[in-house]
Amino acid sequence: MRRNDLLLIGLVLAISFGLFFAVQMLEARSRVEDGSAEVLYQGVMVLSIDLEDGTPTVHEEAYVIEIDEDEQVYVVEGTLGPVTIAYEDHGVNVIDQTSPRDICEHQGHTNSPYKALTCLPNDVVIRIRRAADEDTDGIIQ
Amino acid sequence: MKTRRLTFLAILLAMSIVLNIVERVALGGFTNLPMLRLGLANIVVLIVLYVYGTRDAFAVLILRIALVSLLYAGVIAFALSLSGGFLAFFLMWLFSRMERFTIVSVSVMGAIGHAVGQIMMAMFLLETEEIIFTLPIFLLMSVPTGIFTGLVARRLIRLMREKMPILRY
Repeated sequence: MRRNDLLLIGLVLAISFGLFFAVQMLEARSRVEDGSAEVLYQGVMVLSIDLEDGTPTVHEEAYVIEIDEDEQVYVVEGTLGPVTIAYEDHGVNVIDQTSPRDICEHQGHTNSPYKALTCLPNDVVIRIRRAADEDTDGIIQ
Repeated sequence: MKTRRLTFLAILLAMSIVLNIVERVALGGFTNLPMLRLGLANIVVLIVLYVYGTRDAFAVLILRIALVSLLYAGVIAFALSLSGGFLAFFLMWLFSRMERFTIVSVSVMGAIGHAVGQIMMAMFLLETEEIIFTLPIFLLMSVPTGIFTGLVARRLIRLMREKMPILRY
């Protein structure tokens, strides 16, 4: 490798590490306990889960397969099959779904608006909304 | 000469398809990071780019994406591969024209292009801008995988030029 290669790779690494730590800090600082997790299937909100206590609100009944309020586990429709979401520690994570590489499960737990869980083959997205944002949305609507 | 070139390009295209499928099916199980992809098929695109030129490399890339999507992947994977492939190819072409950089840098930029292109397409398909926050981890993974594929491609190009001069053009 030439000096220019090392400089370019060094620059890319520096930018990547900088962005990585910035996002980590942003995520850590933005964690919420009083918002909600919105579950979207094909761009439509089908279910929301209160992050304070895990209470679910069904928005599109046709796409919600199962709600287990005791275990706080919720199953929604996905393109390749059911997507199972668990509420835990004021956040949510995907515990089961069908996809070629299971990236969705590996994304782990989220309660930050800056970390959405994306199950691309199933066209399911779980995003976090702060309680303040929900109130503002309500006023605007 | 033309037939020889066409035959060799067809063999390279077949190799890139096999490498892509092997990576998806076999190598995925070896790591706990399913997002991590070595980009083995990109080794072939790099070889064609340096040995045969831009047009043939682009043809191999597009045909590989289309054939793998028909054989194995679905519509979403096709859209992701295409957007990643286009951006990767543009960056590889751009950096390969700058003589100050070797194939290793070109390969790293290709890996970055793949990551950025795929994330942009995922944001568009899912209409979820929060996906952009996954970019840093993909960028970090692009560097070692890009260096690896670049070093392998460089070694193979050297071998081809030394041992198989008949296949050069």
